[in-house]
Amino acid sequence: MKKLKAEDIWFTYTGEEYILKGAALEAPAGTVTALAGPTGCGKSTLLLILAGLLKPQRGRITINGADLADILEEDRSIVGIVFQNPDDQLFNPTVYDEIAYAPRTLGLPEQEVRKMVLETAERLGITHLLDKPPYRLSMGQKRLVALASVLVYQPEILLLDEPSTFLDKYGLGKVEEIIEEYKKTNKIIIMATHNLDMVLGHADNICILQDGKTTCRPREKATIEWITQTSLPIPSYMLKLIKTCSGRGA
Amino acid sequence: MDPITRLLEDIRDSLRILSLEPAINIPPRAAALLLIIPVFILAVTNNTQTLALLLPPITATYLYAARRLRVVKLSLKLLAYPVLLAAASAAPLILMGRQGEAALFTLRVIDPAVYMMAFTLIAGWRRIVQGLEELHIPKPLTRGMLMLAYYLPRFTGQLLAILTARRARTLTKPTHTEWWRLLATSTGELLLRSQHTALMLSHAIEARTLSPRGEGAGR
Repeated sequence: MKKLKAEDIWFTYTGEEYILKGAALEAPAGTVTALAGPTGCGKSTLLLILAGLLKPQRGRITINGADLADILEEDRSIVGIVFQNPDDQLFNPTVYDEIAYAPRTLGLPEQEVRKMVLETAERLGITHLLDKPPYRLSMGQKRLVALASVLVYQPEILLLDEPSTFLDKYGLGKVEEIIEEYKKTNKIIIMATHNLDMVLGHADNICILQDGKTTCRPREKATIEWITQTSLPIPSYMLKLIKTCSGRGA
Repeated sequence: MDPITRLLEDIRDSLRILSLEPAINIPPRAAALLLIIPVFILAVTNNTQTLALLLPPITATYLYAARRLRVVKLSLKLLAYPVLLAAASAAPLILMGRQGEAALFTLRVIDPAVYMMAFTLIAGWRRIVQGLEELHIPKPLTRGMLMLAYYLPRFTGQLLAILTARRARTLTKPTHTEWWRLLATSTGELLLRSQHTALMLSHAIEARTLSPRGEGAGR
């Protein structure tokens, strides 16, 4: 069973102030790990490190004991990352080209690439957008295209940075569906999110990143008090529910 | 609306139209030939009469390609800039009594400009690039053309957004100096943002370039 492990990760952009000071997490296959924490705490940075796009000054990331950097040298398709801002991720002239980009880099025949693109687009309900330039889409549509551009090559490790941002009910439903499907295929999902519904609804493990360090717990052991240590906004209906349950002695 | 804002909006909209998919479906090889042959004729023609004769069919092709009045209006505005620049550059020739050369120079600018717009509207920027690839034009060049088509409207759109935000907080009618300052600070802001965009884009390309040596992605 595959397991992604990040140990003692230290990272600084400036060379002086460290944004990550010994962050660590473990994500076994077939699970969703939610990475929560206040704005600017380094969640996106940690995801970029887990994707092998930034090199930590200290620490190690391994998959079943093998160094992630070495694995990525041989096979980049093992990790897929969806950025927080889709505008940072999309750069092709049409949505079709955007989704086809990664398979094309593998040198696959265009017919096969086309099949992959159409399947992925259909899965996310964006077939009608295929001929459009990504910059003309709404942010929600861009978010789905960015997700499709990664899902098309089915990475073993899927990193999602704020997957619920910009999405309407339909888009959010699609993303949640994908997360659950992905989990069932025994793959690793790590999502940085502020959305408590997503954390409690899908995460098997919750890691809170604060002051450069992570504290992780399985969802069953993640109490509301522990979660409220972070800046995760708790929806009012949930607070009401907690109060009602407390009043009944639940 | 401010003239600078209007100009930027026109540029952004025109570039968007030009980089959209073609209205008429033609095979890439035919598109490439349709591009290369008239461009060759226009390049070697050194005669005012021939250039003047070529202008009506070129304009007709353009009007056929543009179809919509809004597209015609927009591209006419864009066309006005090279024409005005060409006329200004040719003005000394007129003063020197060399009207024939001035006309030749101006037509040499107008004909290719109209033709290029007509062709881009017919074939679409993406298909032009595909056609050039069929003709074995080096990939770094063609990929660069695609990137240009993608980023130019975004660049103009971003500049417009920054400028509008600054203009919204300028509570009096800006003078020419203030306009210059607004434009200068907006451009500076855009350059700073582009540094971040470039960094994230390089990450995005790296993350999705799956071949071990980054082959085939046109990086």
